[in-house]
Amino acid sequence: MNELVTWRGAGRDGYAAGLPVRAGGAVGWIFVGVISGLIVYPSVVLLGSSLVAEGRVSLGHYARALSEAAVRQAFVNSVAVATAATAAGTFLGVILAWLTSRTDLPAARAWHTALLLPYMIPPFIGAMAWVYLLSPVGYLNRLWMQVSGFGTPLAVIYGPAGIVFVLTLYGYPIPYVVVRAALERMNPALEEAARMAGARPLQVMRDVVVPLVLPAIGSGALLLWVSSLANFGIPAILGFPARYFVLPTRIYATVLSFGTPDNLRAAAALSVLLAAPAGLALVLQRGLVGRGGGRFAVVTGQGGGGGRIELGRWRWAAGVFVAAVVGIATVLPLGALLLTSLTRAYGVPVGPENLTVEHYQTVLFGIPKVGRALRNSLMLAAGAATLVVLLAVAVAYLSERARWRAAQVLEGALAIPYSVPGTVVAVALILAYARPIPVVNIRLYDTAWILLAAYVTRFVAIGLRTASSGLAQVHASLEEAARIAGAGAGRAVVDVVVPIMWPSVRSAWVLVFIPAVAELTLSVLLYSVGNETIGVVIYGLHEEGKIALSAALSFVVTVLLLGGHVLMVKTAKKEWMA
Amino acid sequence: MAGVVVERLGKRYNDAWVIRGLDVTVDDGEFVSLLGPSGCGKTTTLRIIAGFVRPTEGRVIVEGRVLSTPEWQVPPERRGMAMVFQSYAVWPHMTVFQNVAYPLRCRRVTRRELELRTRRALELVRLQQVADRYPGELSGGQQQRVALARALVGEPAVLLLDEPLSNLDARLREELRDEIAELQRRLGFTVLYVTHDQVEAMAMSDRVAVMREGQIEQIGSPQEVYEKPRTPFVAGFVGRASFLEGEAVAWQEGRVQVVLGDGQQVEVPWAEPLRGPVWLCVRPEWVVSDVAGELRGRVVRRVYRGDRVDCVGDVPGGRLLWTVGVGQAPALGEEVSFRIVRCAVYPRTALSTSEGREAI
Repeated sequence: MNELVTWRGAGRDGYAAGLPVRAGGAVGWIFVGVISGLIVYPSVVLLGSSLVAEGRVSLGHYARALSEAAVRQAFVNSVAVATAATAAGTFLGVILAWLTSRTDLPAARAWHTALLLPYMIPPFIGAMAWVYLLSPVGYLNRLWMQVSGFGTPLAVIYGPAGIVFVLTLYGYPIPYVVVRAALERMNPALEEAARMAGARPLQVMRDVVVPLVLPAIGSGALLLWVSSLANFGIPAILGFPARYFVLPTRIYATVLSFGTPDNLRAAAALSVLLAAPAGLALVLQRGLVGRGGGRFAVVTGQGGGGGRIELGRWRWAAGVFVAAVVGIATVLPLGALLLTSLTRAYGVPVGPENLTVEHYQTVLFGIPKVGRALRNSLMLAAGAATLVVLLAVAVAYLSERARWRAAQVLEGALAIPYSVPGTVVAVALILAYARPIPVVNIRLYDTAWILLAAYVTRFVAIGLRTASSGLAQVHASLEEAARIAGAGAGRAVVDVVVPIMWPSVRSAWVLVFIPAVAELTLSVLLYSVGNETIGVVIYGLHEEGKIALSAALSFVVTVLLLGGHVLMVKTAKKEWMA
Repeated sequence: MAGVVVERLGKRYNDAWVIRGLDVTVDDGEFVSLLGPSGCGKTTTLRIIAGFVRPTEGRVIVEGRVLSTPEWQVPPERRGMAMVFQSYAVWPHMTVFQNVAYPLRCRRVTRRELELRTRRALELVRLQQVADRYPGELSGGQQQRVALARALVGEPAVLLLDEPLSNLDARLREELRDEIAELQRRLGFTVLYVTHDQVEAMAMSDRVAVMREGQIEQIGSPQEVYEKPRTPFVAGFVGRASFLEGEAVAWQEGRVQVVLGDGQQVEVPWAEPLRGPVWLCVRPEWVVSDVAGELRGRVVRRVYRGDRVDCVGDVPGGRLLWTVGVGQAPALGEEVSFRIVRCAVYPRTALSTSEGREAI
């Protein structure tokens, strides 16, 4: 217990030093438990399993994996698809960020909201919607054949090109958000100074704006690359029918090939192969962010009215372009979902005589599995969100305010699972919890608890980021004022810190809840009968060819998610005026 | 070199007029400050002159050339002006040298000339030593000097300064203030200087335009504005002043009889005939202690200022601030007699209950 006290070395000037030493020690031990349980233990088991073959330490699984042409191909495919989607998505994201934040684009604020919607739609549902649109008998292809008279479809979504296309549509919000934030943070006086120096608007772009947001563009691109590399849903829906594999889908197939000996150890080796490039990219990204924060620190002005660039006669062209992006990324897919869910059967002619709501009745009330899955998903998502928020607020506070070394280490560690592809996390958890946990002798596998553990592990980084940015808004002096007024360390946190950061706490909860509700990547590997989640059920219905049913369920879930998002945006506006 | 003419300028955002009916003429080589509290429209005026904001009404004319009208305007980069921003706006991704050279780069001067003129501009602000550093490595004062050099390097006809000193600490502010004034006298460019700091405006300008609610309340030399404030607002905003409430009962040959508060009567010099309720505006140095003085009051506050002592006394009609030499200060609570040797008298209407009264 005594050495735990020294962890608070950095807390000598932190005012939480007033916390009782014993309580500090206990909290310290809880941290150690959380780290080992959620991160260290599964990681060690993952690496360990991949390195043990026939009872001995060996690189056998790696050698065998790399000797397989299919695995090498999946690796190449992964990198190729992710890179292409990153190039396209970053290009799109940067242009859109510039248009909505720096120009006099008509209705820029409304477009900004609309451009973020694809991020709320689960990627695999987006991919399914694009199947309805561009399968060989998809709506767009049928329309094309009718209009043009050709007997061949316009384009078929299955295969690498389709995967890149859909990855781009659901990925561009990442660089969009990152670059837009950088553009908004940038003091408009920097641009105005260039105008006064005699630079024309395009020169200002080239000499001042682009160089200043370059770190943000690089950082957004790397985040998108990692996210594309890790995506399971899109290549699963669009790749399997074309027998086109990327690493996450290859790992999934390997885990499910129960007949093969050592299939889990092979999957572990593949997981390490997938985690390596993702990790590398994230290290690069951290470097860029660090650079952006250091030398490029900019004195910010009042921002505000700072000149928006007048697009002149390009103004309406720009509006049409942005509208087209929103149409293709959001309106068309949602329309296809709705249409499919309301049509008697996928493939029959679209028309009033074939409209029906029976699929909604069937899927919501006729299949017991669906109700169960809805309940499971909502409870798991709510539970995970609550646990994440509690953990995140405690860790953020203890690491950033109280400056406990243990909490700082934990804060760094908890960011890892979000950086690592979900498939890898799932494989690690299977390996770690398939057998009873040593000492306590509890077996998590085959229970809902493994899903809860997986969601918490996966999403805790989101909660931490939100909580720590919320905490940053609570100036230390507010808490100090409470202490001087006579509140103890804990009392000051409860009475002052938490109430002021409450809006962030709430949005952290929603930010975890939304992606957890329709989670697929982890769930599809970790669910067991009776513990299905909604993502797993939708994916299953789609794979079984029950297209209309899965469309109906997808539509319900998507509307719920978008509604939740809107609710969050609405309530988040009630922030404290500083 | 060029004069700046602003004609009947107006700017409306949605339904609110930020400035309205504003006229100013700045002569060639003149240093004019726009002085006023925040929200008075001074920065908007400057940004219209720079070409960043389009006026809703009126025109901006420089050297006989119309630059801004509600219908069209010359873009900022083609006005031949330069500007220094409150936030410095020094580009963090360029070295000091590159920052200062940038206006010349936009003008495509030859390499040799660029090198030469940039070095000269850096010398003007004494930054030759840090030419190859990045702004992030410099102090706030140095960064603002970079911005100044960048503004001067192109030898602009008109230099606009938007609260350039307000992000600096007191000592640096004074140093850079004198430096800017000195450079302007030496190089002779026309300056429009926006500030809310009256000390700055008084120390640097040929003329000061005091702004309030989008209009110019008074424009004149610092001495004019200080000694003959046209309105209670100007009197209160520029320099320190006390306001006493009274009733003008008689005027004769440049002197007016005023009954203060509950009845003491004073006679003060005032050129214009007036009668009725008035504000008596008195600057601290316009009051002298005089045992034979007609005005009596009790000392309620004494503030030691090092070179002098500020005294505040309760007199009929209000509180009076005056200064005395160290060692001559009356005791707290002491009954003192004064004479008002000079003052400004304003009709006291509902509207003129001056904002400046908080000055004491």
